[in-house]
Amino acid sequence: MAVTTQISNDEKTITIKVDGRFDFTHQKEFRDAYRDHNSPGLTFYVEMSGTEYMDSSALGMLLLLKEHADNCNGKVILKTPSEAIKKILDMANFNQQFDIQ
Amino acid sequence: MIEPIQEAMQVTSKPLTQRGKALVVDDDMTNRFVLSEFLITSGYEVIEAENGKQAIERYIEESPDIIFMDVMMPVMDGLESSKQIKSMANMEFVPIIFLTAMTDSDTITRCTDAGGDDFLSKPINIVQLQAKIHSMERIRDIHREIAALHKEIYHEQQIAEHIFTYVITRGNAKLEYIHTLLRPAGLFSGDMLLIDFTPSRDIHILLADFTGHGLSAALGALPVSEVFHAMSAKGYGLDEILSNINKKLYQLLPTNMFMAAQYIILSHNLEYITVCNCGMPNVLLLDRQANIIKARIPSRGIPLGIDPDFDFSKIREHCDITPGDRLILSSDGIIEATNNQGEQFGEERFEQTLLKLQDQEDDSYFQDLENIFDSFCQGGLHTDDISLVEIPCIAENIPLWNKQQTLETGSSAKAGAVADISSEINLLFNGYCLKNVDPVPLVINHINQLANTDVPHQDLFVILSELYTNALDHGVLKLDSSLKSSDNGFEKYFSERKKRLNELIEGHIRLTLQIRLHDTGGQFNIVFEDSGSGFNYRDFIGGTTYGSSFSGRGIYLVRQLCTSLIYFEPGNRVEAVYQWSSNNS
Repeated sequence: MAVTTQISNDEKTITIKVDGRFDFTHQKEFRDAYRDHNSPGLTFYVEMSGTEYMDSSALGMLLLLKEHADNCNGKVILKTPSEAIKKILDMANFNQQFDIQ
Repeated sequence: MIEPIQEAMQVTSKPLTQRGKALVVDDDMTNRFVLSEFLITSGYEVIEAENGKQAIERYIEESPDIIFMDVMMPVMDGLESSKQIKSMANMEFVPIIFLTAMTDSDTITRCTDAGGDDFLSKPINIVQLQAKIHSMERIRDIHREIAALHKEIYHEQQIAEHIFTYVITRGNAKLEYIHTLLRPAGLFSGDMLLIDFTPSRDIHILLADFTGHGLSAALGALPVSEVFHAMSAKGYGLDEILSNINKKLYQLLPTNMFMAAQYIILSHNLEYITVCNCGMPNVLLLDRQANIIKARIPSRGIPLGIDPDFDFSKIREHCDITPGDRLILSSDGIIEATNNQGEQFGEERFEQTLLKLQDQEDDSYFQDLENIFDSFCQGGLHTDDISLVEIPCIAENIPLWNKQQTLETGSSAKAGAVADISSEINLLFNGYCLKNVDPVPLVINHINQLANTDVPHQDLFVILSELYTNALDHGVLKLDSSLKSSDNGFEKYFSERKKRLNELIEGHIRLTLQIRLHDTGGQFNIVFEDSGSGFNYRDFIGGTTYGSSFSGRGIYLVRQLCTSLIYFEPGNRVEAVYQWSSNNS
């Protein structure tokens, strides 16, 4: 898994791109990607087009991101998950917890 | 040369005692001699080899603690020899120090690639050698410490796992017809299966999968099993039990941890199942006669421990079953299991396998299923907990129900015995209560607190809940029970019930319960009165057969249990008298 972070010019949106397997092994990298961004009203995109697999601990990591975003009145949007990833998100009914685009 | 040796000897004078066994590998006798002499004076026992092949033999015979290896040797060079020794050493740390005249980076790379831990340039500088030996010994000690700790942790986990499994599973109803395949990825499983009966002999089954696996995943299992058993034994329904577990996990677990669950209630009369699926693969219901999967109940809820206010009644579903149907529960470990080509077992293959085996007898069915799964996964990595449960919908799963029916009750209670405890409970349920609270467990609890004597809870539960359900369904909600006998009758019935309950504005049920307890038994006078216009109790009260129609069974059962059961016109008031003698139970 590779985690890359992009910050928009106006510093309002943070895009975290997760490639390959999304699981516990890169928990620290994923957390480091957002933990220092806490100005109010941020939008966190998790770009999932390159995500090949995700397990339940990855779902847990998304919940941590959501908690972080909630704490600074921001929001989390999961972007372009593949069919396989969407199935996992659907099974956990994460569409009730997250905005998926 | 002489001075540094003395210096070195002074430094090492302390551990002159046994430091272990050193293997010196060099084709040059003089080199071997010089090094060996030094090592012996430093407190090592020394063995020697002339080439790489001999080194391997000596390693196997003597298991040395440290190896000094020349690179260029006849027969077998030091690089190949090191590779083989390292692969044999496994978890054991046996430091190999290469002795080489060449110190270019290419040589160094080849040495470390072959498994070398360090290298020394020739001619050997004794001070450097001394320093390297010390540092290797330190690393080796840390290694041994870790290995010992690892062993200790493993041992402790084994004990913990044993106790844990005992605590979790001891409360489970033992049902030999329910087949299970539970395979943890590590010592601890993050998957858990709980089974229990309610007082009315419905079977509650919970298959849970916690985030991750191992000890941390298993920790949430304790409180869940506690709540599950306590509440199902008291007769609480699925929504209330799940909601309680959900709240508890929300408090206990960190944000990133949760529990996915399949919760099934198999009705005691084998007529329907009630299912909640929160974040797990489809619950499958197989029709054995038609050889089809007649229902797939997908995950409609979010896993537990994420949203404390989640309303489980919204995602609860009912399915009609026919005796002989098979119910299949599984965690994602099954469909995500991967073979050595990286191919997943998958949903499609899973369903096809289930159908292919349908005509097998019950015992071999599950065994064959397990075999097919195993032969697919052979050689693949097993990284997640795997759980598979097959529940045949057969009367044998509900063994105590029949016994319960034949229990002699009432008849031998002493007439006119003096009441030691007498109490009267009056309860009025309306609006909110009818929608949201199941009053029966509350009443049973109250009775328990009143008397520690052996009140026959099961009978009482059946009587109270059947009469309450009748009053609510047919009285307040005016549901027609003939709905049940149509196709998918129970599903229709329950969805209509849910709809009417949601829309309910007025209506009430009044319960008056008189309790008389004495030391050899007691009597309950139970009166239910509802705001409805009465229901056609005559159709049911006259029936003498059990199991012949889709409705009225509740009343039939209550009649069997009670000394008397009287409906008052127009059918919105019923009085039941239940007596028992403790000598008799």
